[in-house]
Amino acid sequence: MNNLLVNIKDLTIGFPNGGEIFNAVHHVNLEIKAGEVFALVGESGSGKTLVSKAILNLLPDTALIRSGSIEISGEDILSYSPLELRSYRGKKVGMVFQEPLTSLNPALSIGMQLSEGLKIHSDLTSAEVKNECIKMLNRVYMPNPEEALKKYPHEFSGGMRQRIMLASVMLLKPDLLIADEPTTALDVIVQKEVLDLMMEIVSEEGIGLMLITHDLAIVGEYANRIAVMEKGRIVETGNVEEIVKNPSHPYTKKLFSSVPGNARQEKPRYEDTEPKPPIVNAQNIEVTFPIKKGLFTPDQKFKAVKDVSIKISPGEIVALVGESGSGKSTLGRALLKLVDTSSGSIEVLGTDITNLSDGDIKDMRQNMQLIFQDPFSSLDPRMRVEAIVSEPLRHMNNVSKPEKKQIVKSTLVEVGLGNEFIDRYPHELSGGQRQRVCIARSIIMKPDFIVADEPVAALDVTVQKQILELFSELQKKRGFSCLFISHDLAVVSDVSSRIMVMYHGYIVEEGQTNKIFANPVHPYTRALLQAAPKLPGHDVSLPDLTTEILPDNLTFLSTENIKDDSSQLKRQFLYDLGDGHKVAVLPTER
Amino acid sequence: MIAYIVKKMLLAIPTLFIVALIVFCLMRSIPGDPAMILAGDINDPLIVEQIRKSLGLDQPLPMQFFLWGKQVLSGNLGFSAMTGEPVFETMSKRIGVTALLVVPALILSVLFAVPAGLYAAWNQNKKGDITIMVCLIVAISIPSFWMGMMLILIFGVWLGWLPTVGYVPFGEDFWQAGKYMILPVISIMLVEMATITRMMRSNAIEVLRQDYITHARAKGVSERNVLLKHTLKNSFAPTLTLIGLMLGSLLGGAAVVETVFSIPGIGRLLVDSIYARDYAVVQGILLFVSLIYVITNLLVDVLYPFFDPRVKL
Repeated sequence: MNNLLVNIKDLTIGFPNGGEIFNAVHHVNLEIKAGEVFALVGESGSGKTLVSKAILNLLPDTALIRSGSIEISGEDILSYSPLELRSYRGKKVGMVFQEPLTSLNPALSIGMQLSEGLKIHSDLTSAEVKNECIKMLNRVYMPNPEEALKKYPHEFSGGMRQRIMLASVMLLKPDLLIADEPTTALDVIVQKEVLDLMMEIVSEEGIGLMLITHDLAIVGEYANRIAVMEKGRIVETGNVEEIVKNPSHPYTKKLFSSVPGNARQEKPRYEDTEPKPPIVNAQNIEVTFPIKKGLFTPDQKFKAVKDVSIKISPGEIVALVGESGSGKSTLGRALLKLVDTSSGSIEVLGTDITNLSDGDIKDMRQNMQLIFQDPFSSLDPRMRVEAIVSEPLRHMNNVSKPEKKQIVKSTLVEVGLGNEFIDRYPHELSGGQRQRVCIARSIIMKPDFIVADEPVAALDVTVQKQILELFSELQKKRGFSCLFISHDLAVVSDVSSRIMVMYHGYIVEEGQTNKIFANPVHPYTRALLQAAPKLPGHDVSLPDLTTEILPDNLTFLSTENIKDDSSQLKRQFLYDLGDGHKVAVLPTER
Repeated sequence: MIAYIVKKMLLAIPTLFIVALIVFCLMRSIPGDPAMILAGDINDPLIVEQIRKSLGLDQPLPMQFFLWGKQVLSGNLGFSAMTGEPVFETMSKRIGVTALLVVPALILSVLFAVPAGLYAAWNQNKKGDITIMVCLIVAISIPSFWMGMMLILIFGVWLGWLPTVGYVPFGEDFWQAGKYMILPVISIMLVEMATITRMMRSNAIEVLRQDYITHARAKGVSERNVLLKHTLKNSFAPTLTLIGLMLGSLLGGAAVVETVFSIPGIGRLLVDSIYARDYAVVQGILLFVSLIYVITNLLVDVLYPFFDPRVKL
């Protein structure tokens, strides 16, 4: 039995709650062998992070280990003294956290944070430590490692920070690496890079990896074995392929069926039966932000949205997809005139809103609403649900208070919340319930146009599915038009009829959802689709890209072109491949 | 960085102008005629009128402001109506005394408060934390004049270890001067220390919850280094702002302690001058204090990036 890297037996962790003890982890048994990628899967609050923290003996002070044992390489770590624990942590087991933005100390240089662990666990001289750090940074493909050592975390992107995290943990050559949702905060392409890198290092070193995640597609693509946790219990465990093919526990089945894009069916494509005037018609809009420079140097300009045209017909859901920083949220806000455009025109419901006064736009606002990403910060914690949902009604002077309350109640019912929720505060609601309240608040005035900015990105996968279904249902019933912003192509494929792909402020490809998925043309769209992790058996191989689709005098507006952002980009345009499927191109110089 | 400092200094000009205007108007709206006060028992309207003229108080108010402003811009803060001394000279003597009182008090407060705050945060809601917090609440609640009087009573009168009240310049007798300073420094320190400790504690509690602290522990970093290396710098940054504000307000407002211990500092000069309606001195002091505020805050801003590299000037 001693070849087991991790051997957890009958682990129960509780928290005192009033006079009683609430068990957050129930009799968990877990075994991980060296060289194995083990996935611990569950939704938020299922106790998976607690189990991982218990392995490092880093549980919060209030937590009580009520029963069980944790053996790492045959040693009982629960009986370790504080000194033994310190030499165990990092050296035997390393941990990579979810948020690369908060898991590196903002006040200390990268070099200091990397070398710290080595200085604790080895007798190397400073020069040797520095050498090791540079070697490790090279291994995680960090450009200019020597320079990087002197820099601070905020100078790196999220993906780079996660590489630094990985480097700092792997420097100590642990036997087991715990990765707690290591890529949840990253864009899909970066996620793939980081996970591939992690797998590469793990298999080179032959160590064990415990991957904690809620994303089953990642599990399917990377893990050997899986344990599914629900409410503190492990409900199912086994080989990944078997469980994906044949989940036995109802909760596992539910999890797998909730993976977005999993049950992709042919969408009835949105038909322009009788051409109606579009709800939103934006032409060549640009949004620029000033970058403040010194006192005497003129401000530079940053273009967040570049020459974008977008039309949304009545009752249509258009998805806007792109990585963080691509300008998709800015574009969404510009359509609602929450940020000002620097050029171009935006018509909403036939009115040009670009030059409307503040007073006039206020009247328009009831017809255009926004749903935010994070239901935890978009609801005022000091207002009850009734006050939150009824707030938009305060302009209706001819409606009495009891009538307003009735409207609130019926709207809440529409989003699936009973009357008992009316007096609750946001902190008394779960994430999904909060997002329902947000939806209720934005539909109560019966708007014609809604911008939904990553409405399910912060939710667990089963809740995500429910909210998406609710959203589609409400949309069918009420017939509003919607710009659905997301970084997740799988989510988008379930709700939208048309997709626009955005990269660094440009629309690089747009078209019917089916078309984009079946025949993506632009290199960036293809990269996005390829990077998305898929469950085994759901691999869709992309059709080969035929360059002949473009006439000789045109080339794709490549990501390199866009990053260069030279003046020649003024000549880019969207080339129609037919049937509304358009791709960004540049005329070739001859 | 240099551009930032220049910008801040330029912004200080309108600030100081507004302060000057407010101070000027406030002084003139307090009832009481400086000429009458200066004349004292001499109840001769002619003499009072003469004094008024010599002080320039017979001019209309906007003219008075204009004349004063012109004077200040040429580097002359005017003369005290009471003593006839130049305001700038009087002030600079007094500010030195106050600085000798306030700066050591603040430095000592920080030296005690930072470790105390860190320790309390690390022991949040445990015995050590609660003990420190109770002491802090007591220290904050006791008014500084009462604290001063109690210190005089205990150490000066009963125990006889230290002199009670008074001031000896450091140039005259260094040891004696130091002895006289101990009690006033302590009575200022206790209140300031309590405030800084509370600030430090709540910042450190916030920092200790961050992922990077857990990450440090997961690497095997000792608790001592978790506090000293990872928590200290991050939680000190916001505290620095508070300390800057304190320094500014103490330099102008240590009047209570200065009065209790009979120390000729600038706070007492300010209070005395207000009673005497010594317009030139009051205006000069307040203008000077605002300038100190601007400078200390600038200093804080310049130091800030060291503690939080994300901040760029």
